[in-house]
Amino acid sequence: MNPAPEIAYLVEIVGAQAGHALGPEAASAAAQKLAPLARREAMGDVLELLRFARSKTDASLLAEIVEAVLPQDTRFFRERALWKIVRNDVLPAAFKAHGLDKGVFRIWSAGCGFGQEVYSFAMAVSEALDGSPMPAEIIGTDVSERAIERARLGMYTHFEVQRGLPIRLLLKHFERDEDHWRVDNATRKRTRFARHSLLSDFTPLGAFDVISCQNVLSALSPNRREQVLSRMLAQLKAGGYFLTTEGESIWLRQYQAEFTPIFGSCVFRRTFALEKTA
Amino acid sequence: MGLQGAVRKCLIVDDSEVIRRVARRIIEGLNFTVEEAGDGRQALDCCRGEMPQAILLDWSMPNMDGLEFLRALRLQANGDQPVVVFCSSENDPHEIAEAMRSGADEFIMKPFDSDIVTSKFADAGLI
Repeated sequence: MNPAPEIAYLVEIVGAQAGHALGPEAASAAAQKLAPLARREAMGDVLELLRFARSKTDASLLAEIVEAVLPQDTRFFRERALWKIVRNDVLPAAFKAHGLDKGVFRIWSAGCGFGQEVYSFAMAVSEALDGSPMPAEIIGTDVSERAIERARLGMYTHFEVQRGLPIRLLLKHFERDEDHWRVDNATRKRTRFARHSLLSDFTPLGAFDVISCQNVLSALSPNRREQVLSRMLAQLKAGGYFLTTEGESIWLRQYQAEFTPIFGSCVFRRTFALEKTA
Repeated sequence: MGLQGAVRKCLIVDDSEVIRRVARRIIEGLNFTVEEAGDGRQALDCCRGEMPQAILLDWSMPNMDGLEFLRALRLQANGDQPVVVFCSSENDPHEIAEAMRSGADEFIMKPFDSDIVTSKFADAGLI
């Protein structure tokens, strides 16, 4: 059965603006997330909102619709096994190789949602640096303006700070702010956030020592995934590390001549020899 | 870690029967057998025979509170073995830090759900 034209339109704009591939069932479920927006726009229901958006082609309304339906289920240290490797192996090795004389050590968290991954990096970096003055920055990007605003605020609920975040790190890096917990200034100072779509040019972001792309590639349609991944890998410095999840690591296989697995199957290191062929 | 395979016991210490029941359901789902105690004194009795692998511990209780229990536990023979996860409505950072200094391994702030308990048990190395 073909989906309703309104739902098909939702699939189309989410694909065009964020590169996400929504199946028909996922699209119907995602459409329900538009209910608050439909009410705000004084529409009878979600389908009427989508018909209205299609007739107006109002860019800001379209952006709001896409943002509202994108998955944003992030948590601190989400991929537990991978983070263990990041803290014990990747960061210590990368910092040692980088040294104090090569400028700022740069990490990119692509598709950062509400910022938990960026702050997880900030905490792991602080731990791995162990007082070393090496400058480091973590840049979080997301297509959603709303997500970026929330991430920048660094404010999390009682429930959010108890999922994936050990109490030791909560006490060390957060301050209580009434009913919420806020990342403290010392931890935030290494972080930056920017609204950036995976479909736009990455070169303005610069080159990175570590790129983390977790639970992002799997949401993209196959042809988009391929071009996003190859453009992303081009931003990685020689000797730099690319991090992804177990399930998404298969898409790195075609780049194995230049990106070799290290510390298990979810971390890839860019070789020095074949630098810059992309 | 390293304990997988053996039957592991978790002692739930809370003066609220409702909380004990909710926590029991979650922790049994993590493959622990569960024993319950209504205050710190009962909990110490439970630990005399054989130490549990994990203890989920409320703070404010009659007779003997969680902090008193924890300090007494850690002084006992093998009292350093159980992994102690505090579970309290306390959310003041200084108070939580005090509990951690007294020998707790993790801390859950109430209210909790199964996602939080599972995550905290993993943080504490129990699963």
